[in-house]
Amino acid sequence: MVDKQTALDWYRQMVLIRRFEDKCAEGYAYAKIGGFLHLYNGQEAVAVGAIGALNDDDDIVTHYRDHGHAIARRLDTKALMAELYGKETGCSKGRGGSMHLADASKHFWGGYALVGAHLPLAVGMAMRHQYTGSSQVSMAIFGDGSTNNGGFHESLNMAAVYKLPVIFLIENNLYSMGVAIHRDSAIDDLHKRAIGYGIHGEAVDGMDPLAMYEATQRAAEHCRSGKGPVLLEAKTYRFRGHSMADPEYYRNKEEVEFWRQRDPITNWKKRLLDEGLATEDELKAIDESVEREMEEAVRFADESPDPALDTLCDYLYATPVENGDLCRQQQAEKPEYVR
Amino acid sequence: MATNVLMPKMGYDMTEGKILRWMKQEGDAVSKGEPIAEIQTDKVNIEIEAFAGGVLAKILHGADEDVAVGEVIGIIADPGEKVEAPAKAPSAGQALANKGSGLDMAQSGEGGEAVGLDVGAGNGAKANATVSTSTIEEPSMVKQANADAQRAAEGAQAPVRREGERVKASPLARKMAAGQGLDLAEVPGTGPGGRIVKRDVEGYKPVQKPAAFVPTAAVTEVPLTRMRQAIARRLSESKQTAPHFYVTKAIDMTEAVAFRAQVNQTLTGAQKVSFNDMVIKAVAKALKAYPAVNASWADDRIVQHDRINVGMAVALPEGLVVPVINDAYAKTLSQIAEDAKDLAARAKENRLRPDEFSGGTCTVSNLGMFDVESFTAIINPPESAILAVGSINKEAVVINDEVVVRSMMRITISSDHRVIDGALAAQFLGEVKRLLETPLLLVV
Amino acid sequence: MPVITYREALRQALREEMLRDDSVFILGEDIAYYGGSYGVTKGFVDEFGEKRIKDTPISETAIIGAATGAAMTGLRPIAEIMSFNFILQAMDQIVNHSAKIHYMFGGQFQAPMVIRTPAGWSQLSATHSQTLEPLFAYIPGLKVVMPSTPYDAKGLLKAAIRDNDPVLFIEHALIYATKGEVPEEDYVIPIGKSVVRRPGKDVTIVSFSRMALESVAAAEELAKEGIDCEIIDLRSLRPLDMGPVLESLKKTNRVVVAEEGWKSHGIGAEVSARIMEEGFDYLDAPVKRVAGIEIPDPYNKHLEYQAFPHKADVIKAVREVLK
Repeated sequence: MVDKQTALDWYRQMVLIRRFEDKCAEGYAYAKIGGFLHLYNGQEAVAVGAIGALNDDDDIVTHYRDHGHAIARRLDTKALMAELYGKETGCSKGRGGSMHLADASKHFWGGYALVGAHLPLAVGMAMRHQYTGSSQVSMAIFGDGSTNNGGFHESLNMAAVYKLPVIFLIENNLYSMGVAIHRDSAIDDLHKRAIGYGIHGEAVDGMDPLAMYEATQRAAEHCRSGKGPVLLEAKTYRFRGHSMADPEYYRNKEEVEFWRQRDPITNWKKRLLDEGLATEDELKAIDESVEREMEEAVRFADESPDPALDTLCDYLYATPVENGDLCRQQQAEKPEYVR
Repeated sequence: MATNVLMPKMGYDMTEGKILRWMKQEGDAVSKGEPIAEIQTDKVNIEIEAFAGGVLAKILHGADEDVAVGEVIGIIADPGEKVEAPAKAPSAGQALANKGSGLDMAQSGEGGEAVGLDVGAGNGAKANATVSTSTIEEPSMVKQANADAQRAAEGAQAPVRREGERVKASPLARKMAAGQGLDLAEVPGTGPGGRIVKRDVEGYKPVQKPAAFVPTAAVTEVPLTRMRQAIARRLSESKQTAPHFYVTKAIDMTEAVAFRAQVNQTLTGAQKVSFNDMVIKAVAKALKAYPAVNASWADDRIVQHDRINVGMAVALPEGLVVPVINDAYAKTLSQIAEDAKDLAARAKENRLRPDEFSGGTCTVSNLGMFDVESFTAIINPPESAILAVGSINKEAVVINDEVVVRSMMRITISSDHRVIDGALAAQFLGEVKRLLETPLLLVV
Repeated sequence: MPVITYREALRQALREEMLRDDSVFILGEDIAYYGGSYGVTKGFVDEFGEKRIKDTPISETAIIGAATGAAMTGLRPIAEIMSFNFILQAMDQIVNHSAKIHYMFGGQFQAPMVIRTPAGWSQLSATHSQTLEPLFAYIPGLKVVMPSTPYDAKGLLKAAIRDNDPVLFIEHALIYATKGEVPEEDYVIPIGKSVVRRPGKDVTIVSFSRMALESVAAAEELAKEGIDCEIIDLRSLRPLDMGPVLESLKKTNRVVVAEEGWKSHGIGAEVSARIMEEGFDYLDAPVKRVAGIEIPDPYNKHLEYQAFPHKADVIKAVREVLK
């Protein structure tokens, strides 16, 4: 078990993620958040435990269900909510939205929207660490569906061949959107795919932050010592639908209820109380502080401005090219924009 | 297509008219609406205008000739068109009907302006005057890229284009033609499909250049001042757009002369009243009585102005300007006198403010100081009337069957017939006359 | 000044940049011990070692994705895609990641990487003979260059390696052996600049890569008949520099665009549209496009030769546009 401070910190983070996601659902219903919204309720222990085990300069790339990872990586909830609201003060300056949260200073290299496609990025980052002799590791977080995509195969194979320091973390929540795992994956225990690449694979209880933490620590150690990549499979579950408009025809209420019994927050809270690591009042105070933080985040997002229209063409090229920007010329030809 | 110029019927009882003078010579370019001759009827001398544009190809009756109404006195044709002696005259009505048929060549393509060559309203395939039965030939396709202008001159014939056919030209050729004031329809095309291309425009030698002006002796060119340009533009437009007609009255100014002398004994300086001031006041009061004259044509309606702002033409060395005496109706004679002097003085020094020469609703133009007996003025748009005031001279006049000596002055009002009819003009001018002939009415 | 081949010019650029900057490395299929399927990286692994000259599995997605990740974290990878045709396997990584990394995170990240790949054909059959540059010239956030001479190849490859954006550097198998003067000292050609390859006054030929060389040959023949062609080599397809093209158009008023790829929706279509938009009044004839016949490439050598455009096509097009 970890010390009290860490244990309470994990509690707070998980509660913060949970409340953040609930606030997002609300914001989406009020059309303040648009596009796609994939919420993390139920999977909090994976992000908190795994990312809690990484160093500050380890690199993380993740998929589109990335709010939990961003929060666990200590990105400011104000900047995150502002990004979801599309505001200029968002962590990606309103250019990315829910699926592309990022913060360079925290080695959080972004959420990505294409299933399985960001794994090679983690491979490349690990390639760089190996190239420079650094002890940093990179972690790619992705869902069970990604393991059926070509990007998964090519990434694991290449990482194994070069013995790159990558932790491949599967968040197996049993569904690829609306298709249950037994219908789209040749095997259910996805960590066993590691055998095909000659690397270490391990299943972890994704509802327990401590289990996630310890497994990730071991994996990171493995990578840092030059032994090559590791495949971790977090067995977890998402309480909400795939995204906002999901009526969840593909699973039944009993199953959801079964997993709600294993809610990581309730269970961690119980454990802290049982093991005398926290009092009800302390936990309640944390809950309240989270509420305040969320209110602050929503208010900040609400009050922040949209990016100015004339910044549309910013960030096209890192190296500018003379006459290279058709964007501004084309924008000048547009009829007047009416909100 | 040729258009006949006829001796017009300018009055129900007119049977013939005398050509006083031609304002254009044979071969001159003529624009639609432009005056081309002055004729004299029983009652009045009048300018007649061209009802078509082109070139005055033939003059059939010269100055001083008496010609019956309806007879052809001249022919307007397209440049280069051959005309024989008077064709069987289609009536004026038919000549008008012939316009607008076929291709409007001046507008072919994307609005190339045919500057300097007025081809008038579309009149179908122009070259057909000589080529009525020839077959349409495709210019021969070019094999070698290098024989540019030569080819254009040698191989090309006068362009034969069917009625309604779009002239094909490259964007470059269009631009070049527009810049030179060339009508693309005139230019033979040697590009694929008969397209007019750059070498065709470069090599083009017009068949006949209409001589707008043939300098026979040394000339002095006078550049146009802005004022001259403005006068030219505005008054041409006025004359061409507003159907002018003219009503003249002779006014007995004897009482006015005495009145003015008496009044000016007590007035001083700028307040001293001139005859023109009195005319302005009279006009203002008459406009009040006849608001239909204080109006403007607005295409789909007539706008009658509430204010009565009388413009006063002031001659300048470089032209003329018309400052406006606002609310002339409400001003006394001496106030009008002051305003008039001030405006005239500042006009001569070019110190008028823009609001001082705009907003007029009727204008008075006085050439009396040049000993002009009478004249007709051109309406100052967007007004509908202008009064031309002549000099005051002692004349022998019959009053009560006796010949007496009276001071007489003629005023001619030019009216826009869209807004003002003869009777109204006559009545309005009559009111002006009444006021001037009983000058005390000007101060009550 | 030394006269070297296009291939040698590429080798010089790669080697000089690797010596100049430790963060530059090369990865791709068979680029190390095989020396590259076109011999461009021959001997490099002996000089620089396996760390910097990496043979990869046949995994275009992972090659380009890893290059992107490595670039994001501070290295300057040069990924070789063995044949232009194979790049389709990596489209997602190129279009959805490398081109958008800088933009979609609000400028926080950049992907300074080069993807080198050769176009080319010679009875290689349909799936090994395509030239696909319009697909990439279409993508905002990418830079796409396609040099035709050894001088341009060296200068542009150096520029691409030093550029902080993803650059698709397209070579051509049939011109690796062409020769030209190349200075020994370091020089860079800016990305996004066309060049007047041959001045002339009668007609403008706009081209790039192999067809630029075919156009030069065409111009030499046409010169004997007194037709003086001005050739504009685009060099960069994105950004596209229309300046010299429009200047030339003002002089000649007639344009031929020559490319090797298929005509519909090709580079010529874009050049024509830009000419129409920006040089309409100078056109004395419609823009004439020379391109490949729109058919998958056949194996038979006569059919294949007919399907691709060559010098004779350019000559014919010039004659037609001058009518």
